[in-house]
Amino acid sequence: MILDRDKAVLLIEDEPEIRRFLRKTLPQHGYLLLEATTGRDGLAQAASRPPDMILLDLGLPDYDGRDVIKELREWSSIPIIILSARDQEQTKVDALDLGADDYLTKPFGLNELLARMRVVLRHRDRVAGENGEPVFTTGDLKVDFEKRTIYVSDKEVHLSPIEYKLLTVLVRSAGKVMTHRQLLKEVWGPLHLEEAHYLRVYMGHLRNKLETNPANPRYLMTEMGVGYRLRVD
Amino acid sequence: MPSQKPDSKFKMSPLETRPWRTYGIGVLVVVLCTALDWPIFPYVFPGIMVIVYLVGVLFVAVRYGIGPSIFVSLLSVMAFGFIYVPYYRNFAVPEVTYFYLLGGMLVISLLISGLTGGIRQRVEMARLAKDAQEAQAEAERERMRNTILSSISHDLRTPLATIKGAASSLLENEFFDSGARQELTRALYNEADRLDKKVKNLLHMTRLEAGAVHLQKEWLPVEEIVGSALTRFEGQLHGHTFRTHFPPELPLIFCDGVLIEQVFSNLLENALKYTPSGTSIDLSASVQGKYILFEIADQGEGIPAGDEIRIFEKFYRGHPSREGGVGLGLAICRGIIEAHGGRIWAENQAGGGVVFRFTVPHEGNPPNIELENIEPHDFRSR
Repeated sequence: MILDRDKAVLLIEDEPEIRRFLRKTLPQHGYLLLEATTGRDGLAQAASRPPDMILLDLGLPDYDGRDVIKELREWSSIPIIILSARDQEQTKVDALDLGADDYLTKPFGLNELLARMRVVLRHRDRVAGENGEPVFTTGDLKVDFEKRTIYVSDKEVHLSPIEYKLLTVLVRSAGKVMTHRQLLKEVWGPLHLEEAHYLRVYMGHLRNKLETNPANPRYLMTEMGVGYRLRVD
Repeated sequence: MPSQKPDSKFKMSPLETRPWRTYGIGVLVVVLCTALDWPIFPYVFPGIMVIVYLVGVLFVAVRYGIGPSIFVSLLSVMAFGFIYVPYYRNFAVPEVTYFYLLGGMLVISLLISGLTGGIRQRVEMARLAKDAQEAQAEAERERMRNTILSSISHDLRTPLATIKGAASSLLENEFFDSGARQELTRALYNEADRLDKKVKNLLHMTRLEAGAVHLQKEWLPVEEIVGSALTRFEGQLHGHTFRTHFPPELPLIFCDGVLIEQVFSNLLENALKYTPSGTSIDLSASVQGKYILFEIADQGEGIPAGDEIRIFEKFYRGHPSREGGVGLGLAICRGIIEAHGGRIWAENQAGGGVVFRFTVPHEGNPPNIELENIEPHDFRSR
């Protein structure tokens, strides 16, 4: 468990009402809020005083949000959560493929935002520590990396090599959305980025083995048009 | 007068409104034909010269209609009869030949006039019918716009009124106890949420209608689309149960996943809204020839008889008394399904409740998936 206390969050957003809403609420949850209203200002602030996390609006007046991500990712791996208007599926996917960590669609509730923030911070800490926990658990699902064994409700489940690989990639980013391209690249390699149907079929296999009802999954969630997310408690 | 269509073979000339100029042009055509005949007249059979006049008649018939072309027919016969026929008298040709020639010329030119005139008339009538149809469509659009405007203003302003009222109370009155404060905030949140849904639906419908939606079709497992839709309703089931019946052999379907998920979501939202708590909603799919058929059955009171089709119209509400959306949910479903080349309909079930059915074409060949045992390199990646 990480403490959210005094994590610096840089909000790059031109909408004054959203800034006000987060200015009032985030400090109550132990975050220190820094604000920028333009992409340029945001990049400058991030460079002079790197925050723990960035909340980035994709529709900035001066910059395409995607370019902000590109520039940031040239020198930094600060977690980025995208705040996007709806109907920007492709923009969202682009942003995630460029290295943003997750996204929220406006209008969003505070609880959703806090949950996303916790997940990306936890992920960052896990990556920094290199080796994650040897055992991962969420709900009735347990992945024992040392023994390469999967359990559902304490019953061992046999996975094929690709299914296992896919699951471990999702577990490594547990709670975070993974785009189709990211998953294809990790599991099948960079030559298979366009073969999303493979991913879908294997995701189906995995659901059949791990979910009580594959048509109403508990763990392996679909973000339609974007990718998948392994849900954590 | 119908408007001119540049692509039409039978051009309507603005001269039609000025008949005397049309007849003047007819005279000019006959003069021109006579002049064209002049240099060839010593060398050819008279029948060839008649053809020149017939071309003139055809031209006038096509451009100016039946009246001028009959006029030109008669004038041509007279011109040919009076100008050229007397010269032929010098040859040893029986007089009856000219009688037949002139008679034949008259008959053919009148036939040309009549036939062409008939075609013109039909074209014109078709055009008038089309104009009438367009006028009707325009009236329909106008009616739609008015309905939309009144519906939008009512549906958006109702939640806005609550939001404004609750927010201003909270701002101005500092003496609310925490219970009242909580209640007002809850109202604020609920109404904002309703407003959000309505705006989402309106935008969706507008984009569908404007043709701004381009289907992003991909090969998708049915379970994935349904699962994604079901996830949206977690925590909002209020005693309802979803039951899924999907045979494992269902093929991948080629569709826009985001939009088909929207169809499921709208249908499920409807079912949840109009059926009593404690009942089940059953989802199933099957292959029916060239289509995949989806069914969503509930155990509510069903649709009022006669409303089965109207519920898919925009802004139509099956249960006007109940609070609800803008009446767009099902219209959006229809828009999406029709864009996919499928069909959507609703039927009351014999045992109570309603079943919504929709089809999505089962087109093309799903991509071939090679399973792992023939991809040995994947073992290395372990």
